[in-house]
Amino acid sequence: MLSGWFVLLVAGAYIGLLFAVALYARRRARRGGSLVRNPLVYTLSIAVYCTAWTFYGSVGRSAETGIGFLPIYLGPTLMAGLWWFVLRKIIRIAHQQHITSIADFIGSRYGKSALLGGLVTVIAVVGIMPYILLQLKAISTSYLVLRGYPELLMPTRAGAVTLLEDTAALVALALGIFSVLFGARNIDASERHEGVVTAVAFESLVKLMAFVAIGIYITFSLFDGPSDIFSRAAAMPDLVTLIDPRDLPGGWSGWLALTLLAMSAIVFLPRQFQVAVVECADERYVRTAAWLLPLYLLLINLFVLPIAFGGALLFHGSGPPVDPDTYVLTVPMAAKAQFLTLVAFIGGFSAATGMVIIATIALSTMVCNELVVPILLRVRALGLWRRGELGGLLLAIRRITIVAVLFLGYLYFRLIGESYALVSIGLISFSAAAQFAPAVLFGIYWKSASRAGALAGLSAGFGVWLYTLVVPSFARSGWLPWNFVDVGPFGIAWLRPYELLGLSGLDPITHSLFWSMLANIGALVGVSLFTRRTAIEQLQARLFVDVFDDNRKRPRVPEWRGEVALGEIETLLARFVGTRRARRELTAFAGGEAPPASDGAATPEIIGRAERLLAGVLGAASARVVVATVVRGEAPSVEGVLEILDESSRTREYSHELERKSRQLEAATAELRAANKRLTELDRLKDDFVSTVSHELRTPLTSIRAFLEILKDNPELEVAKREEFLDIVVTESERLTRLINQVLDLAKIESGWMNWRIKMTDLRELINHALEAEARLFAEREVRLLQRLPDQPAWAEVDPDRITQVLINLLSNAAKFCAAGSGRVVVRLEPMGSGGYRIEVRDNGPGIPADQIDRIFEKFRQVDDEHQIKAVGTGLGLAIAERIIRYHGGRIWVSSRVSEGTTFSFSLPARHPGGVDAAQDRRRNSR
Amino acid sequence: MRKRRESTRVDGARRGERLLALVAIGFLAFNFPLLGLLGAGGTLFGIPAPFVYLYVAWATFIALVAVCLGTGNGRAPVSKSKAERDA
Repeated sequence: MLSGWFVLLVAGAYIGLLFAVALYARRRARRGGSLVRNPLVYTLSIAVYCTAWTFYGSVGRSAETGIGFLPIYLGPTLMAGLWWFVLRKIIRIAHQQHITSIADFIGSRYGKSALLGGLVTVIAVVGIMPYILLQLKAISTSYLVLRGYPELLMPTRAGAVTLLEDTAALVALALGIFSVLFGARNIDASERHEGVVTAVAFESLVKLMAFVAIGIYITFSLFDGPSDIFSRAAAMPDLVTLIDPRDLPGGWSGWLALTLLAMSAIVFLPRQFQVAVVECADERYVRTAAWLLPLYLLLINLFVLPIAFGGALLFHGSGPPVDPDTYVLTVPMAAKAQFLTLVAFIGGFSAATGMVIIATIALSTMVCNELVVPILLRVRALGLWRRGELGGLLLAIRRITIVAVLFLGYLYFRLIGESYALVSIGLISFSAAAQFAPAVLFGIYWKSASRAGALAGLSAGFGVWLYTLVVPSFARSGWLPWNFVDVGPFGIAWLRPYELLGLSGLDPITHSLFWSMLANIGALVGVSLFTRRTAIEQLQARLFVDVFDDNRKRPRVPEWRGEVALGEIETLLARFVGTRRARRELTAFAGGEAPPASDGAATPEIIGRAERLLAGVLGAASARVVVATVVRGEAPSVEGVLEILDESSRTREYSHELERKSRQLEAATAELRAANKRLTELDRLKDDFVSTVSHELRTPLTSIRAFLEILKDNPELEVAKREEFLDIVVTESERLTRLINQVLDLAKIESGWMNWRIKMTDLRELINHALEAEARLFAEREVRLLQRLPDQPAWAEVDPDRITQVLINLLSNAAKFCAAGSGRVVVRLEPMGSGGYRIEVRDNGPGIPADQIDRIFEKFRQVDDEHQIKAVGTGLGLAIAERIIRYHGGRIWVSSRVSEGTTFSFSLPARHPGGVDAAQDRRRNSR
Repeated sequence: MRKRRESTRVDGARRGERLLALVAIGFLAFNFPLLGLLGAGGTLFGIPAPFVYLYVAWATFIALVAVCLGTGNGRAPVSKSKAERDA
């Protein structure tokens, strides 16, 4: 049943399925239901990392080295942990700059350098082409093995088949058609290829399921689970050595080198960069991919060891040797499991085709944008940029490059496919891609990395890579004498490619990685440190390194200063993207409904946008050249831009500083103004006080003097009269004394010189004392005095004399204002919830008008009334009371209703608020 | 709005530190000399101990990365188009 034709038919049907998937994805995307806008599809597309090399090669490597295949997957797992920093940043930059490939990324970072982009492209083509070959070879080999079913025949030479049966050619042709149709549809290479990405994600699913199915079948159907396999393997001496990690060929250093290589490969292989960065629909997907991709790798590697050990057990000592690289296919074949054999073939087929499709698209974009277009641009004789529409031409170039890349891969395969040491091709490609890592990583984190440095680093790394890996493989293929490797060129021992400068003891990959990275990073850093960067390099470095800086803070800088009419920009765009799209983009740039008039001048911003749009088509370097052809005046004045950048960042700092200072100044001014206002107020109060006191003193003095003069002038005044006058003089003198005492009190309190004698006192005693002292007054005025005191003692830390003074003041006030006869005053003492006490003196006098109630505690403020009470009070009592209570940490307040009565209340905390410090504070406050 | 932005930035910094620490630990766990400690010694469920160690450590690492990054909202309903992103 598994005849050659049937297998070819299945393979053809599978490719047909790919077309259907891609077509469906593109239709859906057009209707707005994009399939690639999904972290799962994104992750599966990155799983294009697992090629035929994984599908067949992992088992092969495992059969020879045990766990030696694992660093290739542990590396990406570790790298995925760093994606949150690295990959996210690269994606952000790529989207902002309309990056089309890793060559474009590196070229753009280092001053939109066409030379650098070209160099990266050359490295990629030289380094990756063999890898594409490897996939074609895997397809061909698996087909040839399958064709022999049910016999296990190891293919010898690919040349032994007719062209019609040459699967590699047929597959290359089919994939070429696929890539041309789905990979080069849109002129904008920075746009996503929905169809391709979805198809590749689908392929990742197919290869995973196929491999897991084979694994389960071999482990649980042919054997009794993994423990069965490993226990049987333990009985075989040549398999036992595969178990101990310490017996790995290459040892620690080899393991570490593979891990590092794989870490860089998962991002910097051109096809990985294509799916992970260029095709990424949303940088947030990185968050999911960072753990989902490692999970995918874990799953697809879960059965590698059982299959490798199982295969080795099955084929041990029976018939001709079977290549471990084919175990995935040959083990089901040997078991006569037809369907699973076909599943294995399809799995390997999908792994290979997925890689070929993406790698081809990535390489052809690079070749087209970084090599062909810049060269065409420079050949002025063609006058290419004076012609009409160029979009079609560009697409044609890109399609031709796709076919060319595939054809080259196939040619390579026919020419050297058999001689090249296939096993190491994958790692040699990884080593080539690793050369990009320093240029990218230094480029996005170190602003001083310069174009010259990157050029030097890449050239040096690439040179060492060529010499230490590619040259020896040529020797191995017989194109160079093996002596070259063994003895060294011209017999110079320290130039031996595998033991450069006499460094021995490392396997070739580790050896090459060490020297190439040393040369690459050394040259990049060293040269960067000693070169001056041009203005555009500095500008691009800023844009790349500071990509996460807040956009709003970044000053808007015109990149272009020349003059150009909007119409010219439109014509330029139209040449590459078509008239309709050009018009649409310009309208979008202008942010309006209708496109702006075409004879108006294009703003620098629009020119910059047009350049970025073209960068997505041509690559950054070419786009710059093209735009420069239409912008008149001194071409892009990047120096000016940098000046503005520097200036504006300095200005920004300066103005921030200024703002801060002026805010401080404002605050200080406000404080001063408040202080000044308070001082003025105090000054006015002092004047008032002095004049009021003088006035108050003069009144009794005047009357004393008047009566004394009468007494002096009328010595014969009758005794009764004389006594009456003397009484008045005594009363007035007392009043004078009282007034002076109160003024002194007030002054002492306010200046903080008052001597307070705080002690634990029963407030009830104080009230009783005050009541006794005032009893006479109440009796005289026929006012009833009632008290409501608790039975328990009310202890509080107070100055008893002062509190008594307050009480007496309130009581005498109450007595004075009550009408004789009907008057009634109630004194009440109540504990408060917070541990203090409230004392209340309530009268049923005339009350205080609402408009005066606020000012009642001010000095010399007396309620204006017709009660001629002014003669009795000094106007200082309440002011003093208020200050005394405040000193004790309490509060005094009044509530009153006209013609119903007045209630004075004050609160006292049980504990005096603290020692000397608090007293000091209070003094200052009361001042 | 501003406050939210700042709080996410703080979370981001924290998440970054955790990830870095995790990758450092992973790098040690997946490399020699720790890798060679088990030698060929013993089996677990009939599987050689070094194999079990590698795969379990691998799975644990993946789980921890997933926890660090949060299962969060990787799926955006409608993402910004390129033009908007550039604006």
